[in-house]
Amino acid sequence: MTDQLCTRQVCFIMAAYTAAGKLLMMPAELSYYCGGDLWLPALIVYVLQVAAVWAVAFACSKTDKTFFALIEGVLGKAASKVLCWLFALFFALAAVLPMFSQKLFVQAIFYDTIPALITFLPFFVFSVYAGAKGLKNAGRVADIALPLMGISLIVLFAMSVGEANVGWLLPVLRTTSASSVFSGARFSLYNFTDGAMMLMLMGRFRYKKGDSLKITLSYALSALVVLLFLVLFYSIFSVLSPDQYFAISKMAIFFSALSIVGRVDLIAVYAVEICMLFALAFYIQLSVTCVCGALGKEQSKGRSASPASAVASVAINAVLLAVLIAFNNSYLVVQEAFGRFLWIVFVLFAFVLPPLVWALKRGMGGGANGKVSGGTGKKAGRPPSG
Amino acid sequence: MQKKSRLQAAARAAYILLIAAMLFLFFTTDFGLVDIHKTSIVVAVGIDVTEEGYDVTAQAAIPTPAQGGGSASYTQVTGSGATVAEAIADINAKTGFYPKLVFCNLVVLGESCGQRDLLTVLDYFYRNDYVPLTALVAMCGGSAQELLGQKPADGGMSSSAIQRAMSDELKNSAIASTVNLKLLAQDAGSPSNAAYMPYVEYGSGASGGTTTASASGGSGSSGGGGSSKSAESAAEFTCKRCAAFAGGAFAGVLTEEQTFALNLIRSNIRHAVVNAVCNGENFTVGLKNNSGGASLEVQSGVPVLKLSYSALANVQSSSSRPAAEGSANSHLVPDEVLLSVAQTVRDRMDSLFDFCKGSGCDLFGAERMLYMYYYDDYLNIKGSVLPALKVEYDIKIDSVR
Repeated sequence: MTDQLCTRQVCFIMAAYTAAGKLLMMPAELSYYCGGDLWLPALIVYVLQVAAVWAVAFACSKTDKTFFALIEGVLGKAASKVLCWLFALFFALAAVLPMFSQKLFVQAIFYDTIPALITFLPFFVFSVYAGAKGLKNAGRVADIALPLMGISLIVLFAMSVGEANVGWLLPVLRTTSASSVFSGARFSLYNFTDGAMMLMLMGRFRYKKGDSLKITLSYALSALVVLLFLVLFYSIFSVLSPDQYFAISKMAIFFSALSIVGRVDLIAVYAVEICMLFALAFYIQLSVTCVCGALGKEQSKGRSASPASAVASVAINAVLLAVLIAFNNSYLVVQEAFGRFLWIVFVLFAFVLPPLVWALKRGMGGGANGKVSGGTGKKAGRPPSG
Repeated sequence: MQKKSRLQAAARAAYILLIAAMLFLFFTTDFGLVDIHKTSIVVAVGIDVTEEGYDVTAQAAIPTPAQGGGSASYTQVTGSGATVAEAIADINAKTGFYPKLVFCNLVVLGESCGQRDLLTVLDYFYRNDYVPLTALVAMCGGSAQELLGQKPADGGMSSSAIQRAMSDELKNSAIASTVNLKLLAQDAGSPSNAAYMPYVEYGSGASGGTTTASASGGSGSSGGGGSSKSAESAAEFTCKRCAAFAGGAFAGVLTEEQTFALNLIRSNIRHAVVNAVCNGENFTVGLKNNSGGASLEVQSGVPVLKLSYSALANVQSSSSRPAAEGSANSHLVPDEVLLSVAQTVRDRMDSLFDFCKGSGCDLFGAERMLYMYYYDDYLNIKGSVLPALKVEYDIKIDSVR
């Protein structure tokens, strides 16, 4: 095993990147289905995701293999490669709606009245570069992204809280039907790839005692921040919430000082936007990692990206760009497709597969307390201790 | 090997240059920079309902380059259309620039808007992402176009003067109400389905009487601008009253006393002034440490509205006890005056309550509170809360010690 990340970076990724993408469209979408109970579907999904993240993080204490190495050990090399490709497709798919959201956000907030596609195209230059750089790079970026996002969110929360009236959330759990909660959860599932994300980080950091708790708590803290954000969002906008896309940029506009000093809150919004872009690029990085794994190629050579990684990054970004151009003015169509049909893919990859690492570990014969050790095939690690 | 590293360095440099170029495009709106000579910034919009649809009057500040030596000016343009959006597009066609509403801080509804559903009139502003929800909303008697065409005493834009009449200071003194697009939609969209907004009135500063508008005329004309002052026609704007809406329909205009009571209940008041008559003498009393609000209880199936208000009072002016005569603790308020002030506040609240019951306009938010805190009861009596509503008062006014 090569340690690409340290535990802190895994915690930061699970805290910052998982929260960033959920602050744009999800609040408005959830309030459309559930009104003041918008936090409920998010809470239910989060509880399941925290369990999935914990299952994977705790499995890391028993094995230092990657997920694909475990698959290879139990089901064979062919199955491992097939899953690599499937996960590559999944993460590329997971990037689609966040990418559309980002495009609309950039056009609506930063570009006034010129909704041209070209304004978002520079993202792909950044994305090709970041996508090829691999997970080590993602970890380093997370070291910067988390503090940046943390400070920005504190500033935005402080500016927004004065306008909030939590009374708008009442009555609690009286006006929302179970089907609305289910619809809300279903249509927001494209934001929840966190269990799958943790699955990809498995075996890529050196596990120390207590790390599973740290990682799970980091993720739970991020969940808490998102839930607080949802509550604050509805407390501010109430009946107007379903139309308030790009929530993060609108929360602080009622802060009285802004009428005098101007939209200084946009500085914090820009900072969060940077984190969102890196969170979006992280999907592509994970997809590239999976493609390289499927091809049996190294993702990086020293500090440089390998040719395979670069080609994979270009290919994935080209596909995403093609999708973006094809559905440039059809965000709602894409959203509908994810909410009605593709949500099941997210359930499978982010909710069902992560806990299965325990079955794989048992299949490897490590036993309940035994630590299954080993690398990704070529690089063997420590011998099994159990 | 050396050739390869040079190639890599060149590729890296090219990549950095490409990113820099893209970032440059990104932050310059792809060179979509705005020529300030060809744009304007709409700071206020007035809406009037006509037989054909809507007249929208935009008061726009025209940016002037500093090096040109010009002074700030503004213009006022009116467009017509079947909808507000079409009227705004008409303004675009007449002026040659697209009116940007990002800086629109005021939306004034003319009296004629009372004929239409409130949220239908304002629909454009909630659909358009470029209009800030922080924009203040007000209604006026007569035409909004005429109101915006008035020249205030300082010679500036009427919209600035109107906004001063709805300033935070006046709001904190319970004199004027302030409502923005967001609060209006929240009130109108709540189970109470009632909303209010300041009612702008203007009079001549010189004569004190009401003037007729001398604003720029019909569609497409522009006026305003410049710094010329006319003391005779200088208008003074006040927002001491409120326009009320029930179910989206215009329900009437509150009196100053009713507006004062509404402000005590709905706003955070810091310092209010009340004049009370006690034993035939006038006492003007300042009220601070204000705390007012409305709550709702259901007693035996009957909704009971509890209006509470507490404050500390001091005498600001008295016709019977001039402070200059040396009376000690002249600011202390005698008990009978306190009672009189409390009675005055109660009378004003009572008057407001009567207005609400009479017009079916739930400005207290009683039905909303019922929905929030007594949902089962709400299901039983929704839609008929106001007729069944009883009121209790809890008014405590103590003297400053």
